[in-house]
Amino acid sequence: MHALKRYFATFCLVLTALTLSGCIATRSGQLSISPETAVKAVYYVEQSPKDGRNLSATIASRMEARGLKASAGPAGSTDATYVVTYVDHWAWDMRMYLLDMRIELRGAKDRSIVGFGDSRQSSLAAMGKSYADVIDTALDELFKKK
Amino acid sequence: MKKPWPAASKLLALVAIFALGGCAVGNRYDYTGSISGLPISGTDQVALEVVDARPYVMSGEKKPDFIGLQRGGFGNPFNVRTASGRPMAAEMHDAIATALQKQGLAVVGAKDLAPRKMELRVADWKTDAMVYFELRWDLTLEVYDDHGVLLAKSASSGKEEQGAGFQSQNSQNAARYFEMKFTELVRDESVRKAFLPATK
Repeated sequence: MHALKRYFATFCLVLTALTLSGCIATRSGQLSISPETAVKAVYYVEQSPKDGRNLSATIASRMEARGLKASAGPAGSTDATYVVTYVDHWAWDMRMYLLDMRIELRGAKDRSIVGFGDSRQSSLAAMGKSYADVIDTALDELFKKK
Repeated sequence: MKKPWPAASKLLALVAIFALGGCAVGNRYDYTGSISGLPISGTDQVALEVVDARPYVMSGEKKPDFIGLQRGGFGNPFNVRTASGRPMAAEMHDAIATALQKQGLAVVGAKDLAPRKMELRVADWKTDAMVYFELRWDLTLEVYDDHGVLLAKSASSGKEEQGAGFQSQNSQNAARYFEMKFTELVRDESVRKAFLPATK
């Protein structure tokens, strides 16, 4: 009986470890400009050539929802203050989900980096989230208050 | 007499350890090509040097390709090294040189004569990843003219923490942090002024 309890306890430990390790969401981000500068700036979201979901438009609309002046379009010269680029990684697990979204902010003239925001989530953690939610998380990290 | 733990239980416990530990062993980060742009430009030559002044590297405790730590499920540390196997200072040098060349500057060796010399001194640069991704840094950037006169100096040091991920995400984060910290040093008013044509 005692041995059975020990087996059961070990089994529960392993099951917990396996299920918890599948429910991972991490986020990170930095911004080197002040909140005042960020609010006044004009942003241009460059569409990634491999983006078939028009994520650039979604990023621009989510930035506008935060009160920022943002537009989206193909890569090229712009009058904006900062250029927004992004890298999206997708994975399959019963459905396609956005595994990782990294958004970077760079000076429009010299492409020097001023900030980045990243949101990564496993399949379980991504359940119920749209890719707009994931973009919002990455933008939260980029523009978070220090 | 206490019965020894059955082999099956030990095996199950090992599975749990590996599930919690993830891929902590043999992580490598890549700093070459980590800088896409800099807020300075020009057409002259720049002598570039990156000095690894990390005390644990200078003492021989860690090798020059040491970047930081990746911890397993129980916090046990494993060394993170450069992707190329070359010293971290060499990868940082390449990243800076590529970025300077993109901005129109011609990069020459540290001992070569040039209108400007740029020296990055790395007194500390160490990542530590487990549940959180921690970065400790202590960087000093100095710019000299062709007579060895100091024209500009900017420094940055501190410790930051972010969420950690697996190797590829941590590697990207490490590269971005280096790009951001170095760019902030270059963005310093005195450094930018040192590369303006009027100061020559």
